[in-house]
Amino acid sequence: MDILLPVFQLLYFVAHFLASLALSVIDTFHDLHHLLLRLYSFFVPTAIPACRLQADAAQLKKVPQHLGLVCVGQQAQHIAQLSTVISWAVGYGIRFISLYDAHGTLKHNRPVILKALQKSSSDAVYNVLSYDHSCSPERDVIAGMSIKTDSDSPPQNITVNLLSLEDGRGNLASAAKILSTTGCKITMSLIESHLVTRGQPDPDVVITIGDPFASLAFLPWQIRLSEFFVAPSLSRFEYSDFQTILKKYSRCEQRFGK
Amino acid sequence: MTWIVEQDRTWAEWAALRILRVGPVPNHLAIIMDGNRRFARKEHKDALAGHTRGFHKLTEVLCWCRDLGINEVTAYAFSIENFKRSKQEVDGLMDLAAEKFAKLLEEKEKLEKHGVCIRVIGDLNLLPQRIKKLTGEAILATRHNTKCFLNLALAYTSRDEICSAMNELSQGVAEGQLMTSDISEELLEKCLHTRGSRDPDLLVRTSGEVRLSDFLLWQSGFSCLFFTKVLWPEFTIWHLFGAVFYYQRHYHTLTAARQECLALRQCMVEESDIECCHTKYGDKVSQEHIGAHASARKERIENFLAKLHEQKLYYLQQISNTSD
Repeated sequence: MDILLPVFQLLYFVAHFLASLALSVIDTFHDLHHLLLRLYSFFVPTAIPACRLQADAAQLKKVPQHLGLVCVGQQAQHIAQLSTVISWAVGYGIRFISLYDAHGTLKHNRPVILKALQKSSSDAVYNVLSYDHSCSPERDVIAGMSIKTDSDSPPQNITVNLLSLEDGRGNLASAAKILSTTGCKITMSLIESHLVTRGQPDPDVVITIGDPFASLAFLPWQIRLSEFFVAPSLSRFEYSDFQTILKKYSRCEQRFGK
Repeated sequence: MTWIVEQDRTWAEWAALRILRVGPVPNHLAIIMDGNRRFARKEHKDALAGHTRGFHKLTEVLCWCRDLGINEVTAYAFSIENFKRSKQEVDGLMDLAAEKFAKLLEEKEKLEKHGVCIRVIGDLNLLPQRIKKLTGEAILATRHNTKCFLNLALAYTSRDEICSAMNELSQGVAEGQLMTSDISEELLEKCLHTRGSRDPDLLVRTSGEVRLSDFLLWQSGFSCLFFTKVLWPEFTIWHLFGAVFYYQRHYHTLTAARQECLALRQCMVEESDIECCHTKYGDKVSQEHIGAHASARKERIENFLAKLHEQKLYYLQQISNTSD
């Protein structure tokens, strides 16, 4: 019998308790900060204008083409905030956005997401895609509020993927199923042509929203070179956080193995 | 420099170790050992000196893991993409690998005493002949040890791994061992190079990069990711403690997510069984039909995997028997 064991057990719980305590204190401060911001925006509207987003984006060396948002647990319920994040991404010139949660909550909430995108004040056309078991896409085209029908330049086309667990590993398994019937040698490009995101660039930035920093089986094939970032929760995810992440991404130098 | 390092802990390290061992400790740790060259540049040495230091650090980390109770470590030693580096550096790395594998074979008894099983994941055919031979020998020499496992990713990329697993499956279908409907996530997973080992619980990448860089893309789905700024040769036991502490804080959420994924996977297999029976027997499907179909499927898969295992063993014996 180890007489010191209870001591270490106690220390273990104390250590984790202190960490939780510290985190909740920080959380409270963030919440207060958020509340103040809310109050402030009640008097002065603070929706970030498109020109500011473009100006911020212009300062960056590179902007991702494809943004992945991984929602952990309950985060997938905050659809209004998700659509705000999408509008920032569109303002930065990101053309492809993947929304992911393991349970498929986002897929179920498809009508709500469509409505939220419709109400957003962006001037882009959204192609909202989700996929069933046979990988055939279900497509809805939604135009933002402030789209001008009479302008000369065609509106931006934004692809929004709604993804769940099956679109990752399951998609690879079904690709294996289809390819095995052909009997030819399977190459990487052949696999790519059977993925749900075929024709789209791989996600450059993946933001995990929620607590554990994990990819939660988000598109295993496509995240090869994605940069991972984490945000504690959607309700506290401010524009400045988004800007910081994209700044970090633009500073990253990829060596591709060299 | 040996593979098995034995160190004495200071009292602070020892206490932290005991405290962490009270809670859940990851079974499987995956490491991306990044920052060797930056370290060498900082110390004004050549790249190879950095890589040698990196290897020493790996053996040290193995010792820490043994103390912590982590019994499986997967380390990203060399990616297929790394062949693009300068010839001098690639040759240097290969020489280092050859030297270390030769040393490993010398230390066979010591490894057996500690129960260390070495596995190499990756496309061995891409390696030079002499390294291939040494790797084959090393894997065969330690394959009966079962206490702790070290998986070295050599000439590895995850996409290549998935691609070759799909080719195995397609070959199985072409030879009539498998039916197309047998292919599932689970079977694909069992054809990966990492078959027989569990998914990593914690993935650590050093040097501040926040990418997976084609490492264990499939397997790391529910791993806790821990990115740290420190360069790999400067990684200390306290960084590892930090990573484990972080893992402990998220242990329950990740385990629940993984369980859910497995349940969903089971559901999909059952659904596909029922669908197959429907196409075969029309509407008159009974529970017995489905049961018979499932057991036949399991048997086919078992036979296929056994054959795959045999083939791999034969391949290893073949490469370790070739003369230089």
